[in-house]
Amino acid sequence: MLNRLFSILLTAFVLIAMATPVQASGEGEDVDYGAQVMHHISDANEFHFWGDIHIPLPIIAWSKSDGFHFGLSSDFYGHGESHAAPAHDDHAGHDHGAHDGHGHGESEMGHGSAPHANKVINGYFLDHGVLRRLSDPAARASVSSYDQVDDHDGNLKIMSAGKAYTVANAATLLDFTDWIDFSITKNVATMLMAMILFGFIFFTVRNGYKKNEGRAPKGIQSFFEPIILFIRDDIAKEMIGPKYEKYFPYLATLFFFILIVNLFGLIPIAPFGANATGNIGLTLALAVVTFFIVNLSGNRDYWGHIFWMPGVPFLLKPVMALIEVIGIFVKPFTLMIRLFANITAGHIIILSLIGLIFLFGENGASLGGTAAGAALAVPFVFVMNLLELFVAFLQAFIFTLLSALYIGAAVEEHHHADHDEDHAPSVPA
Amino acid sequence: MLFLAANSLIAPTVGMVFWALVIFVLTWLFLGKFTFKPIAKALREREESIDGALAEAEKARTEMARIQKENAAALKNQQAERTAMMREAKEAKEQIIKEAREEAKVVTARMIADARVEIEAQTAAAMMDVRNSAGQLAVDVAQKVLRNQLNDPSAQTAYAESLIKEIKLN
Repeated sequence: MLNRLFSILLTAFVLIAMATPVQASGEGEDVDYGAQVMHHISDANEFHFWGDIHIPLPIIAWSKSDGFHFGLSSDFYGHGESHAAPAHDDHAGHDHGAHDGHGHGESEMGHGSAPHANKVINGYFLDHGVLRRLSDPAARASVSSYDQVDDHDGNLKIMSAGKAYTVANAATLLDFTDWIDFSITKNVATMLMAMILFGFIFFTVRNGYKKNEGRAPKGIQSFFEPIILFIRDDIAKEMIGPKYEKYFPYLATLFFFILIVNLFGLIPIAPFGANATGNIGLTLALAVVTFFIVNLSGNRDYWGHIFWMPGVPFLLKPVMALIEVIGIFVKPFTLMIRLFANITAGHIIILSLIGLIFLFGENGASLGGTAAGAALAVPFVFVMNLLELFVAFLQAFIFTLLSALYIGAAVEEHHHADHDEDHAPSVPA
Repeated sequence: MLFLAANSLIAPTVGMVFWALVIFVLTWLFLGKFTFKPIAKALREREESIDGALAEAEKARTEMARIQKENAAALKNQQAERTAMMREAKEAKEQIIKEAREEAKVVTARMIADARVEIEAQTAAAMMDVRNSAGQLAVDVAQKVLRNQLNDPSAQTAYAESLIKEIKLN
């Protein structure tokens, strides 16, 4: 609880800090640290190190008009001329709050050389490693590269040969545009790696149980057995009761999947470090699965308690029904937000602290400032990483525990004799 | 920029939701069920077997205790029996000795009595002999004396009268 409060306070602090972009005087360059942090915690279509050093990822885009487009994120990089002065930089007067179309590494790492992920293929292009698409069908056919991304008036545009083209982001659940990015982004890649590690670990553990049948666990099996037993005894049995066995594989999968993805997010070196469990799409998917399991498992008592709450005065029953129906959706919604917010907050805090190094060092202009920033940031980041390690376990535990609690409420058999106090199942939010 | 970034942060992209659902559900249905189900089963079986073994051990222990108790009781019984048997044997021995002694006493007494009777008989016989011999001797002596004295007839008569007197006295 204290930890969450702490995270929320720090997040608020960081958000306020981000709202006031810092003028870094050293090179006369505007460095928007908030945008940098946001970029790092957002999903991307490549694993980016610095400059044009990156691990390419598959691009799978689908649009209503053109169907599927397959490729690699490296397709968008130009060839050979990466360190030469690119032709499109010749255009004068484009410095009105715009930034170049190359990777974000420049301002952060102090590298001046420009990587060139500036190709436009079938209207698709990479903006800071994120796949976007031109809205205009004619432009999609004609434009093959761009000079810069322009978002100074809040509407994303790209500049190519002096002309501005409007851009459509990939469809989200809030803004369903005409194309969907099904690419293996770094978050998706993180999940795939988590799935592989998951399979490797638990098939090994399972084989351990086969090999040491009826005997004490050995090796990796003995490392995971206490955790598995904890999930079984203190989460599944405790929350669900006698019917726990059916739900145990789901809860264990949920716990270890979240945990592994959380821990991958804490490894700072690519191909790890993606803020995958801090991506609301992932937490939404997990919450949706829990939602379906809970409501498809719901017995008569569960639905009875939602639509016609026993032990409540008659006139209150419809009101309670309304609240309970909202509750059906609020419960998984809180699951989604909690995991997303906790992991994202942790990443924001760590990135903000690391940002201090560049802020104090005036982006590499001041060595003393950099040293001071590092001296300040390193111990804080170290402590934050320890905290995040704890949060990685804690949030996996909480998501699993609450899923089990909701399942338990759905399958619980009520005894209607003692319903005066026992009417409302508590909803921890 | 902040608005856009923040907005993109809380807007789940369709692709991400799709992949997250696919990957998580696959992980659950194919990896989770193929691993955690057998793991749960193995754990349950192991627990049951351990519980069973413990219960059996407990049972064996109580059984053992029972047998030991029985053995101890049996031993005690045996000891008592032995003591009783020894006592009985001792009693029997004493009885036998006593009886033997008494029998011996009786036999001895009888033998002594027999011996006494015999001795008396012998003594009587011997006395008879002595008496007979003495009588004969007395008769012989008396014959010789009488022959000497009774050469005259008066003396014979006097003697016969004395003899008669003597017989009367007896």
